[in-house]
Amino acid sequence: MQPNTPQWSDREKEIAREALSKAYVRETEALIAEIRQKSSQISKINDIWSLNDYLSARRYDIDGKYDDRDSMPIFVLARLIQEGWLDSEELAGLTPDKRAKVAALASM
Amino acid sequence: MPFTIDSARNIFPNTLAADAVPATIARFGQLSAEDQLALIWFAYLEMGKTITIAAPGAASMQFAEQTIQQMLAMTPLEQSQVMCDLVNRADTPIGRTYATWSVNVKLGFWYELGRLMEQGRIAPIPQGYKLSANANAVFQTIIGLDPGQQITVLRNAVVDMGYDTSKMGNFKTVAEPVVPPKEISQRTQVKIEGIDNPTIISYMNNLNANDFESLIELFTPDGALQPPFRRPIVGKDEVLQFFREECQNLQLIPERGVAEPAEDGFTQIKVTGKCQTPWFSASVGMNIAWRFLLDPQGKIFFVAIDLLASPKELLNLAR
Repeated sequence: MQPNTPQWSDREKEIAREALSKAYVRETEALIAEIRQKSSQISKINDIWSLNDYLSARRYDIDGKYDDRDSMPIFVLARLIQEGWLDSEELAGLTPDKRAKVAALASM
Repeated sequence: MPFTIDSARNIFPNTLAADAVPATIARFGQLSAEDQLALIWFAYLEMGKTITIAAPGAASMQFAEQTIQQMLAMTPLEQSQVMCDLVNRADTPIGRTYATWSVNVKLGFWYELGRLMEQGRIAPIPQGYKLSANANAVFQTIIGLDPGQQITVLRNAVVDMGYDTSKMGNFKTVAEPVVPPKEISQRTQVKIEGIDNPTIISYMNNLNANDFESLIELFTPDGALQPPFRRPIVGKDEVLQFFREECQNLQLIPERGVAEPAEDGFTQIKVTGKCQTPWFSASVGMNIAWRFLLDPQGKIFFVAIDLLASPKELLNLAR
């Protein structure tokens, strides 16, 4: 076991899982709305190819980000707060040191 | 306006091909080498639960044998490095050798490696290896595809490995020997609902009989064949080489079709049905559409083989 590895209680793991789940719904719903909007503005073929590239990048990003099997979700949670898919208040119930780490990472 | 290969590609335009296959390959290519190897291994294990892989014959295994022996003499770390190098398309002696192999030799090589990994004689995927989230997403996509699409994704992953042949100058392809055509008594006749065109019937029967010499005579000299998800292969010599290298012992099972006149006295014909490969025989039937464009003399100017998006596409014979 590594020193300084924070321990996550079952309750904390549950909080993290719920937060990830909420953020996922928000991000994917926002993406759906965004793509509908973007596609209605397509007027030339390069718009289509740009959209293709954009969708591929979004998929790779979303596929890789929400890993609830990760035993150290601090980095994911910080990123989601930074991107606006989560509010730090939604992490209430995590230990203060974990919340502080998330806050520090999110403000980078 | 006379047909070109490019315009021929658009006959029966609402044929829905399995776009998930090239898209999944593209996503697979974004993964790390370790993830790619582990994913292939896990997919192979998962698919092995429902489909049976036929062992390659000695005739095709002979070409990969030397490389396998080289690897058996290496340390486990070196063996893993070879596999990663292949995935990374690195410029190594084995990478260059691999690049010269035909599809079936490559597949046979990995089949043998898989067997040796199961036996512990080649470095296995590390115990408890966890796919990254991206790799896991690709894995979930693959196991959600129909078996014909699954095997196509994995086949393409294997084909794409090894050093880039475009950087290799001239080389000789190493392929399994060409089997002789089947004896007349061993040949089958297809029956296609709605189609009695002799060129189409001969195409299917000759391919099923491995009679590539007769098969190629059905084509015009400038004719082309477009395999699934690939550019057209143009010219009789090139198409014949494709048949010999990649189409031995296929089992085409066309079911139904529609024929109609096209411009300039050409005829366009769409046939749908199943195709089995010798690797999986009857345990995987790929859902296929064959789209033919015949010239006024009934010769094949163009044929596209499409892997269909779903079984319901088998019934789609609409113009």
